Amino acid sequence: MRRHYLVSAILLLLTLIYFPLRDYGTLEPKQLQTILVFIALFLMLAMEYRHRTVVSLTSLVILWLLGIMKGEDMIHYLDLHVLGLLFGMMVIVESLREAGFLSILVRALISLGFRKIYHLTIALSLFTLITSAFLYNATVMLIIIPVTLGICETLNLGRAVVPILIALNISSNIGGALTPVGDPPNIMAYSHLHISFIDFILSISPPALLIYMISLAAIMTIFRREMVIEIKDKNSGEKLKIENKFFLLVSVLILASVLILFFLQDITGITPATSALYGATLLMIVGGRRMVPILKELNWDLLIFLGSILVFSGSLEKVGILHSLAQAIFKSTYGNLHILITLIVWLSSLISAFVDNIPYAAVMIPAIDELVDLTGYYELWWVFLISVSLGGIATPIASLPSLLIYSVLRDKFGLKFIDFMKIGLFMLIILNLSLNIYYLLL
Amino acid sequence: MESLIPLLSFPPPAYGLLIFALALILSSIKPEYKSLIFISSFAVIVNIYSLNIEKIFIERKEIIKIVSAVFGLEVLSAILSKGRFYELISLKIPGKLRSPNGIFITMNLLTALLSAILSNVLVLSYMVLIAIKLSECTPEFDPGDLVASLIISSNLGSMATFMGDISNIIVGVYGNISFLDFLSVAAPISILSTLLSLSILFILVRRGGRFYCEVTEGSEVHGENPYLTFGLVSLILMLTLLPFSRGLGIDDSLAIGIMAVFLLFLGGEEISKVFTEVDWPSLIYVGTLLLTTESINLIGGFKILFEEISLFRDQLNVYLISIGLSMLIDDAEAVAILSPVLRSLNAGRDLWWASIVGSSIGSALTPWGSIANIIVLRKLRESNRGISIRRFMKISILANLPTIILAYMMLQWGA
Repeated sequence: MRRHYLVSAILLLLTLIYFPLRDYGTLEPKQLQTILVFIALFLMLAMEYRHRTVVSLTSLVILWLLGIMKGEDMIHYLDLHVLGLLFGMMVIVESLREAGFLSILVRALISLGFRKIYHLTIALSLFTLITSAFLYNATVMLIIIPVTLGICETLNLGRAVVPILIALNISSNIGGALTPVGDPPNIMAYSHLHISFIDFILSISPPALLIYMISLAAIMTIFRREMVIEIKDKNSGEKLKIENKFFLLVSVLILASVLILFFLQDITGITPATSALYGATLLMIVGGRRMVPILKELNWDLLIFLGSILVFSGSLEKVGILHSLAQAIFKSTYGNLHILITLIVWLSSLISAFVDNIPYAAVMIPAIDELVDLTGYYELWWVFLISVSLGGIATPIASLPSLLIYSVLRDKFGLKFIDFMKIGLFMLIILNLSLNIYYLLL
Repeated sequence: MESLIPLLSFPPPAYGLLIFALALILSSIKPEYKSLIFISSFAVIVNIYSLNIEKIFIERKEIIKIVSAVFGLEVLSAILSKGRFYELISLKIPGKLRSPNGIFITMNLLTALLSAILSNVLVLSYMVLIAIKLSECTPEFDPGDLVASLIISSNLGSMATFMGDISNIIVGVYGNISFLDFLSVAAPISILSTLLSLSILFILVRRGGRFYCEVTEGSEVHGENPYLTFGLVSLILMLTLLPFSRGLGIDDSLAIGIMAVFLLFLGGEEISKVFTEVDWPSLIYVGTLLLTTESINLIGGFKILFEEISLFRDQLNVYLISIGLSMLIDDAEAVAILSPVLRSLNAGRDLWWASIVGSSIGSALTPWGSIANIIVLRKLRESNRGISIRRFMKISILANLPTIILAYMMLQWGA
């Protein structure tokens, strides 16, 4: 109860400090209002003051009432690509689960005979890293999370799944940085760089893979007790019953087709969201009545929460806060490469930890381009892209993989927003330090 | 968002219309699949015609307003359901009243009143429980007849306010009709129509007999119930504040959604969790139904209606077409089809009112006229006390024929 009074008191304080800040501060009133609403939103999410989606929707309504965001702006920043992809993949993955495919996959993985938790962690995390490098990482997470939970439930691993899921979150975010198509900031930067696909991978991979290995080592150390738990083979040998083989076949074929379309995006011009929606539509038509409970039980709450966070990030971009920040970096570090690298590493990751990395990358890419021209230090691109990816692990709202992992940890293991942040920020500090040192020594 | 590769270079609108017609038929047969049917049909139409969803949303902001209002009402319904409001009401009636005729009148009036401010499906779902209970306690009482009368009262009652039915919200938003306008025009028509039909129903289905059961007044729903208190306070607050929304420059539909968000926020941690219990498929259904009709409009699918546009300039024609359409399909679907035509005509309020009143009366005429009718009649059938289509139609037509005339006369007079 104290927590609620504290949050209410801080909310009141934030409202009251607006007036002196408006009169004596340097920020525009709309910028100031957006920042204060953002602080309030983040505080309420961190303290779990209300249901997360109610909090984010209330914040959006306030921005709308303050005249900061209009209806058109909200639709513009809603990013139907991201929401469409998430919805489409949710439908496909839930259909695969209903059809029994995920159970088959779980059994196949269990039959590989992992002896200790860390074997399983490394195997799943490597799989996530590699697939996230080529596929949109939300897609990878939507498939790997139920598979991981299925394995852990079958093997009766209990809370030992928590470090595995955290490792998967980190792998997915780092994996996204490995290739030009792994993550939206990479896609944006790649279209700006005019270098080959292979050159991009060769340049960014060494530091990214090193960071990945450090992250695995850190997870193994932090969760050392869980990592050495023996896995007892619980495979009962019972034959898995598949009720509808036709639906299973269709679901797998649709998933395979959607994944192929993802890979062929450059050739076909069909975006991942469209491919996923195409697959989901086909499944809804073929699946018939089987799809009714799937549609009802879909995580609508998550979709609405993500939508509202995307719009909120857009508001920060709209009022020019991100642009002002980029300008400030440019001015404060001009001439000193070491300070510039350090500032880019920490600022990029910290901003990405709190706002969506797409608008931030969109604003920063021209600034980085200019800084590279001025300093002649081309590696600044890789510093920037890896930092942005690392920011995605720090908070539940930092990236889609984080949000998906947090949702599972909260629903299944009662992990709080603040607990997730503690682990995320701790890992971020370790990995940022490593990245910073790597580039300072280079 | 761009769509997929078009299956045909320029597919004729007939394909889209065919998909839409198929969706309407399927949703009438299987109302529980409505959201799935419309989301699939919308996706197929978007893909075939390469439509830009973002553009549709930006050009037709009304869709967001309508979904916002439906969301607000769903939140309110979810809080009241959690507070077991409907259960409490359904247990109170047999507990307080002992005469079957008294129960008959009270239930019909209460159904009409509650349907004017809350979801018809929920109101009728709980009222049907009392009808079943009544038949157990009063052997002379036919639950089928009673449920038929409740369906009629619910549909006529829902006409009264902006938030009474999804079809009212659709027409209210597209026709720029406010909450207060509803109270001044639709509410009197609704009240008199309900009273007229109830008088006829009373003569038609009244039964004598005694009430044999001992009913406890729902003691299990008494005691501390924060959801019930909060739900009722929210309902009163919403009804009190809504008339002022336009004065503050906020649309009634958006105001309902905004109020629901604030109520969830202000209600505390536990109340805010009711958010997860909102009936999302209903929202998806409304959203995709409107998006589908807009898509059909965009590809020229309603051209056939536009060719006969002069037909829609007459209030009586719109009124009769609305009744006819709502008899065949859900009233929300009927007004969703009529809206693009009326919009293109820059229709005056008289025509919009005709569509609201017509669709409300039309949906009371057939067992499949609205999703609430289908669900409630199915519930009744499941308890082995169904009513035949013939009997339902006989009751509804006899009770509604004078109402159709009365409502039209009032429309002429009022609008």
